[in-house]
Amino acid sequence: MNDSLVRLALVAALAVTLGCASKTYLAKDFGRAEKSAEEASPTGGPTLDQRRENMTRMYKDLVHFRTSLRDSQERGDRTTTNALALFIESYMQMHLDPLLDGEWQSRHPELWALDADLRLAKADVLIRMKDTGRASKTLDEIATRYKGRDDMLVHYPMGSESPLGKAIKLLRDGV
Amino acid sequence: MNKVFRIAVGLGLALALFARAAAAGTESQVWSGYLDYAYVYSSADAKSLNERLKGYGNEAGISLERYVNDYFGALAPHEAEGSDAENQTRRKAIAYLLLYLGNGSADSLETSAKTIRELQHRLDRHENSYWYHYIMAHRALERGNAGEFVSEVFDLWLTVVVPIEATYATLDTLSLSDSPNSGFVAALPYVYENIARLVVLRSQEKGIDHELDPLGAIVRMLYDNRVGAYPDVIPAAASSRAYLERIVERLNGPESDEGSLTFTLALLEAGKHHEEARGLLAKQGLSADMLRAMRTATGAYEVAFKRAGTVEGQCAVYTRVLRVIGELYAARQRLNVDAELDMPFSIEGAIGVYATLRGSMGGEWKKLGYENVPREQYLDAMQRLWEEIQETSLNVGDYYLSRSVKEPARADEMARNGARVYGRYLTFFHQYATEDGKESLPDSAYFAAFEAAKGVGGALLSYAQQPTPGEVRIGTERYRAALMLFPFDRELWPAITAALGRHGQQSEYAALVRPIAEHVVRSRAIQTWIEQKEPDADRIARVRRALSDSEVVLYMGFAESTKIGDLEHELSTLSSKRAEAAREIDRLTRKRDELRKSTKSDAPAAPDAPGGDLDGAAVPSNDLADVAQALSDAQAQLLRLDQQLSARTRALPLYKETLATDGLAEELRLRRDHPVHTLLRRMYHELRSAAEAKEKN
Repeated sequence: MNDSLVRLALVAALAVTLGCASKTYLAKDFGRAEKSAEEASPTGGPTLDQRRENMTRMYKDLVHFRTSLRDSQERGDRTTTNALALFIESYMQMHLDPLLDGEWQSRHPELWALDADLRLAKADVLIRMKDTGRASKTLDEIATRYKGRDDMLVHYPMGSESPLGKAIKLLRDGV
Repeated sequence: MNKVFRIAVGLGLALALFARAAAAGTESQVWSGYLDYAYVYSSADAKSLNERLKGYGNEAGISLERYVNDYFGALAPHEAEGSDAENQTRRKAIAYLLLYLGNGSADSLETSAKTIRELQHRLDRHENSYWYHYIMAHRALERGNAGEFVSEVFDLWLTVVVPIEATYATLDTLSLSDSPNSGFVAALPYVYENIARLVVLRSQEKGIDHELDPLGAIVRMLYDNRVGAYPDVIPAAASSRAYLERIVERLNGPESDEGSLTFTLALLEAGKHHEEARGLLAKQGLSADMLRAMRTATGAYEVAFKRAGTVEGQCAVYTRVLRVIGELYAARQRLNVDAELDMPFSIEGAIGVYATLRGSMGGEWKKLGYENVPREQYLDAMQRLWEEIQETSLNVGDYYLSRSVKEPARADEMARNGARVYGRYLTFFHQYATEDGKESLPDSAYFAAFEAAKGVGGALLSYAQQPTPGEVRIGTERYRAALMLFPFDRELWPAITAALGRHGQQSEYAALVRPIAEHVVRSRAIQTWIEQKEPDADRIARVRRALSDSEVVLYMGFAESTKIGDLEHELSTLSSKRAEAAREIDRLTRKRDELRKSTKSDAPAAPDAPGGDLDGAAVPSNDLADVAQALSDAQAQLLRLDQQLSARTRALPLYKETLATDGLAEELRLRRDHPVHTLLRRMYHELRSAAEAKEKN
């Protein structure tokens, strides 16, 4: 059997598995709830506060996703893991990714640490979801956005602090 | 003024403007208003909801049921156009949902679902999306379709909660969250609350006991500064936050099944049934209703057990369900009613779970389901399971002993049953109370072992009417073992004497109990306890001092503590006897001297009589010999009396000191956290280590 056939079979099997587990959420079904990040780039005041609150809330949500994924994986519960993965995937596409689209928050002194935390948490969850390709891309993007700032302290591993460079390395080791 | 009140007043005023009795077939502004705000009250329980709907119906002049039939049933879809048609369709769907929630009519729910589907093209509007997924989630629950239910809740989160919560925060900051223009965004605190109730309460009411685990993430998010975070909108008492807190604590703690929400809800549900059964037990005793409730509780625990995928989960179920068994036996004994209840759980099953937990203590214990908790919590879970095993064993054992008294014809059978139950706990105890695994036992396990050992002794020696010689020997040995575990129970010392008497071996008493007294006197654990002035150190020191006297040990076995007064009276009698004996010796001495004198003057001197002290007597007359003998006897008697007086004067006060620990056993029985339990643990391991070391040598 040649490699193409094997790949095709794997892709088909994955599609069947995901299809059986639950329905897929697609952002286009509901319209984008978030505005494009650059469109709404506040420099201060309540809008900045709102952005910070949103980012903080989403960071906490990612922590809960990670906990739930970890629990289901430790239980060996594939049905739950798949259902959660699909939900989280939709959450990211519909709400998190639009929030992270823009460049400005990675440069804003009041938000950059939180922005980095959020991206690292996203990569962490993607690794838990075994989506290593997207996790790797997320880490590449962090490295690009925060080039030269490897010493910046970030909240990773969750619940503790470490320099950004070390956090990225730890996550890459897990990819 | 809080927000709820302001909303209510605003809503009331608005509705009052339009309030009029709705004629059949026309829109009621009152009902339209209440249906638009149905997210405020729709998740109330059926009784409260019906009361509300009745009140609103009175206000509108038409009941919801009639309004639904007369207005929505025929006219609404054709009456309006555009956004008004959309509003009426949504209201209709909500109205049917409310009827379903109030009276459980599945037809109403189906109509509600059918109606809301008409808005599928307008789910971009959050309000439509909320009601659409909320109704569909109810429908999934009604059909028992857990997977569909999970999907609908996820949809609610993605299409309603996340989009509106960002806006709500901003409006709330500007105090605009309850402005009429804020639209459905203002509903966010209710949306949180309603989703929480749907997931953790409604799902259980509808018997969904499987496949809810993906919603664990939603529950965690709801608990994280969402439900209960708006006390000015939903007062804390009306919020489900406290219940969510219990759930999240369970999910994260050692009573979990590695974070499974399905398991956690099933166990909490079983706990609720258990509480109901307890309430009925307190009110009605072992009534038919109570037994039915007990069966429901047991069934619910069985569901939770089946859902448990880890030993952690099994341990959590057994820790709770053993109480049902213990409570049932205690009630049977107390109420003297022999109620039967089939139990899918047993003490043996719990011991099996404990054995599995214990088997991994030195290795991969985390893999039993404790991946995310510290070792202390794993050990605590084992200790709690142990406590339930011990309490249930003691309750069941006590029950059989009481039955043996109530049914003399079956006394032997019941006593042996009791002995077997106590004996099983003792075997369990000796198997696991080892030096390397002692941290998995609670402190109270050692006193429970004493109670079990005493229980076996009592069952075979006091309750059984015709024990075999072998059983008498076992009973005696168990009494001795009990005393070794807890030497401060004065009742047990004479019980050993009585037991030895059953096979004519009272003379063995001293040899049997001497090691126990020596252990108390030499114990480093007791010494440290006393030196560090730990709780009850003084009482224990007094007993230790007493047991260092071998005569006190004899008193412990042969005297009756209730007759200490008699012993003291005997001491005083002994003193009188001694005084009398001294006087007699004095009198006899004088008489002998007089006889000697008279003998000396009448006859020549003779050597002393052997054994006598009649110095200077010649050939003793018969009188002199008699007096000399009497004097010798009196002197011997005085010596004996002096010895007795000395011993009793020393030992009796010491024996009285042993009264110091009277009541301690009862205190330990009542308080499983009594500090002296720790001392018993140390004493046991001190003894066991010494015995094992001796065996090795």
